[in-house]
Amino acid sequence: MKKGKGETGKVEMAATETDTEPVAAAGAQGKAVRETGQSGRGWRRRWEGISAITHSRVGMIGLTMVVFWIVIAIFAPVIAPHNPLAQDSSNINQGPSRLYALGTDHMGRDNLSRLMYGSRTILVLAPISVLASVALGTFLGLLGGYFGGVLDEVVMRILDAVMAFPTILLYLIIISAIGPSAVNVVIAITFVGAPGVARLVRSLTLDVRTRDYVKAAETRGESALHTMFVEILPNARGPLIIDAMLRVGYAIFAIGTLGFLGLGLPPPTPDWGSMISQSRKFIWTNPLGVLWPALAIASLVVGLNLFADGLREESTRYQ
Amino acid sequence: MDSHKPQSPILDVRNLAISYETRYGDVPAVRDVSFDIQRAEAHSVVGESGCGKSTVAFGIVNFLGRNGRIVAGNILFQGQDLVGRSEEELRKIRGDRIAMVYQDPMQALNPSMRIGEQMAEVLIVHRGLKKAAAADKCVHMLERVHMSDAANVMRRYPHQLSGGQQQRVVIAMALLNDPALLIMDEPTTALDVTVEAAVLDLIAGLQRDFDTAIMYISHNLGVVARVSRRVAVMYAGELVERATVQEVYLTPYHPYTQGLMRCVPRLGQDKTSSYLHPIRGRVPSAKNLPPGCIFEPRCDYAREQCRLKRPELRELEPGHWARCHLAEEIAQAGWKPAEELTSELPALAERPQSAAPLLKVQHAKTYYPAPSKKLVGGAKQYVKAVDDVSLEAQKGQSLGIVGESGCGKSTLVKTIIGMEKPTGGEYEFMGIDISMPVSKRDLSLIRELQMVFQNPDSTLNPSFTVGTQIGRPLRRFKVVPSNQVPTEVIRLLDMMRLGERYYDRLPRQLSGGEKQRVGIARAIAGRPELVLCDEPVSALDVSVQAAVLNLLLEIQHEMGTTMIFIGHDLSVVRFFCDQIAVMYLGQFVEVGPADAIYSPPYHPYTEALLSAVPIPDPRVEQKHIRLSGVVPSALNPPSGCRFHTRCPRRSEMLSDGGKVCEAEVPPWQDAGNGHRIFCHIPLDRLRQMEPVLTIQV
Repeated sequence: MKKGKGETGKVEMAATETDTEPVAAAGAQGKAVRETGQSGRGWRRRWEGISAITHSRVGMIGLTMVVFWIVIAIFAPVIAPHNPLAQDSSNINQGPSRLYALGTDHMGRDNLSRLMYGSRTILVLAPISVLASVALGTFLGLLGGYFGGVLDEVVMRILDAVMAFPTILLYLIIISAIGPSAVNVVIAITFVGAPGVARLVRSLTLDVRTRDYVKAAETRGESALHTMFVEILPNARGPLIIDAMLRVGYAIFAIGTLGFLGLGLPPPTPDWGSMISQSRKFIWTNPLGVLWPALAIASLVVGLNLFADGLREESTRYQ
Repeated sequence: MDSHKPQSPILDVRNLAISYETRYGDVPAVRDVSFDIQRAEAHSVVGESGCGKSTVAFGIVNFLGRNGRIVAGNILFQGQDLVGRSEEELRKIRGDRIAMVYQDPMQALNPSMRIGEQMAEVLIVHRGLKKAAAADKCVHMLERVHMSDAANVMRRYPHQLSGGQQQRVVIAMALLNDPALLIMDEPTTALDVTVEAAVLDLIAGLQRDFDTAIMYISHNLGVVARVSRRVAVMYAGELVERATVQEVYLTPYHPYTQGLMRCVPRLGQDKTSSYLHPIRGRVPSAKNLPPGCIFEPRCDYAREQCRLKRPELRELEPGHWARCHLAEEIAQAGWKPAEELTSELPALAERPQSAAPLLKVQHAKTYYPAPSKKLVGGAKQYVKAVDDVSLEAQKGQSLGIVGESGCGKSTLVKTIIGMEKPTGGEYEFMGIDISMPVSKRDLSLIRELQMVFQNPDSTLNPSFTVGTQIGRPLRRFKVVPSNQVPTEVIRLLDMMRLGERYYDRLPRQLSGGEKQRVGIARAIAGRPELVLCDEPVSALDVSVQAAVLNLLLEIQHEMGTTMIFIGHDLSVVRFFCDQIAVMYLGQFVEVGPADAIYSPPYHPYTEALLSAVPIPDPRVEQKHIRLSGVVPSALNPPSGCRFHTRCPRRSEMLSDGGKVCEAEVPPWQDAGNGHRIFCHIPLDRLRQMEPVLTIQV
């Protein structure tokens, strides 16, 4: 808890760590929060969890890499030196120069600007598709894990069937069936990712379901939906969040792959995957054209993985 | 320390201090601990969880882990210091002369090796014995720890043995190398009371048979009284008192030890005639210790001096050490309960029994289908968890259910509350039929039946604040209008002696006792008629246990709540309950008023249970009755009387030598005043039994 903590957060942490009678201030402050609603308190607690990452060097390196790309994506229109679609026919397949810091591609477009704009699509599509697959997977996993029996069998066998296909084949089948577009890329990734999430959530549910507080909810006659989403799900969130981080990495890979295969976003949208695929033909004359987008994908995925590792390390240490 | 003894002690710990390194700096887990253990002596270390007793043991065997280290003091083993030595040197000094036995035998045994192999391995590796010779020695050792059928046990895997047998194997393994010091860390805590009694007998005999010194670590005062001569009491990382068992139990000097003695119910005490005196406050965290005496914040005698100066361990009488500035004064003054407590002594008068019981269960049956061993077909088998149980709970009273683990007491309660589907029987609550699962019950009915759970760590949802969790039943049952929920929650928190400041805390910020109180608050929030308590205090430390029991009593007193109290600690159940039912293998064997159960006539099983309870009072003389064999499977219970396979009484007390017990289901014999015994032995014979417990004066 070195940095980034509000005064109130410190009081609460002190109570946690020392396990002693709390300072009177904590009580008074708690009262104030209660009167103004509980949301402030909840956010503070969440921040507390996230700030644990600051103790992990690996996690911080990962976070820096991810934040770097997020900043670039947000400010791309401001900081990009050129229009990513503008073609300069006098500078085709050029190396780095004063005008084009990372060189140009086969159509004379600025590599740097295309990379910057490309991060926007990937950083929007990947999280959306992961959110969708986590939502779908969580629902199915909770259903199977909580009810068990025949329902569980049916759900899990269907998911097993989906998982039996090689992922790349699944992407190909889905995209070629529904056509390449941003929305369809999201649909494909959701469909392919959901079974893995479902399995994870199911196993977490099987564990949490046996706890006494779930029994207490049952003795209160709570509905199945309440028990699943209010009693069980919040206690499965730790591993689920870490898993989702890793999945964003996979999704970036998948979007890159689809772009490379020409099944991603239609040209001329700047897209890292399609940048690689187009520059590939000129790899002998202009190897940098392939290198930049490949490095971009790699750094973002590695950053996310390191971040997830750091989170896992810190969150398990607390338990 | 015991200078009158000429021989040097096996183990001599001097001013030992151990710290754990954490992210928040060094945590001094153990400070200034000194004690010695003589040859062939059993020396106990007692204390509540987190007091550092296991840390001392780990320090002795150098198992402190990566972040623990000894910061000061010496550990002399047979005269040589173990502190500051390298692994290699330690091996030379210690060799295989120190052995350790842990709480969970299943963790100590390798599940994929036969008992014989893993035992022999010790001898083959350490002693270089040949396989056959090693096996012989192992069988011999198993026999010495009173393992029946030792040769057969050698061929089995750990999971094929019962918990008691496993612990015997672990003890035998520890003794194989003929250790000079045997450290036992809560070796019987995971065992049932009758099994525990047998293992304790074994441990008590060990010093006699083997010339071994034993360091026995336990939280249970009764167990300690049974196995050892001298005892050291630890509190928050320091040794506060050290003397013989007699002295510590009868004339303790330190206020903490005195407090411990007052907060455990003695067997025979009940709620109408006595009151448990919990120690107020909570154990200080090792990260945040008081500057003076560590017990000062909780001590009734504390003075200025205690706040400022840390007391040293002083020898007050020969062999009796205590760490208290005011020890002599305290011993002289005697102790009076604080005013506020005496005024709250619940005057529990005998309630007139209403004609209709609140809960009436007749011939309850709960079976679980067991998977058939055959792949296809095969007759369907059932685990008969509860088989033909009838009970009545009177309004405002407590019904206790005692029995060993697996006897079906939890299943019975789950069936009543609707978490299990009953297989048969009639269930009537407030005149309403409740033989259906909770999902089919009316909300108003659900509200009247609530439950308190055993494990404080899982009773609360870790994701929500205390206030939210207590508020949930209030909102769900619409106990108060929704804008008054916070006020009502605070009222409940006050009633639990927790106070408003707990409203916004998360469960991980609470201690075990506090979590349990929140669990109780959640259960009583809907003001239910009947609260089912499934071992609500068995996972708590004794000083906390008393406070929680008092709280439950108060609730019952104020709200007239009826309670069904499951327990395995007979002293606690006796203290808390008006009526008691003893359960064995899915059936009740004895039912009656609490005082009637604890004196003759007994059911033979009740008699055995009572004689197995460890009693924290060296003056109490207990009859020695030990059950043989293991609890039979509920899949295939014995015919006739289910207890006949282990009954120690039937052959001597029945004219036909107990043949009838194997063939016929016993009758319920009425001993008057609602006391009924499920046994073939005639009441007159049962009445002639001697009481299990007698107090020596």
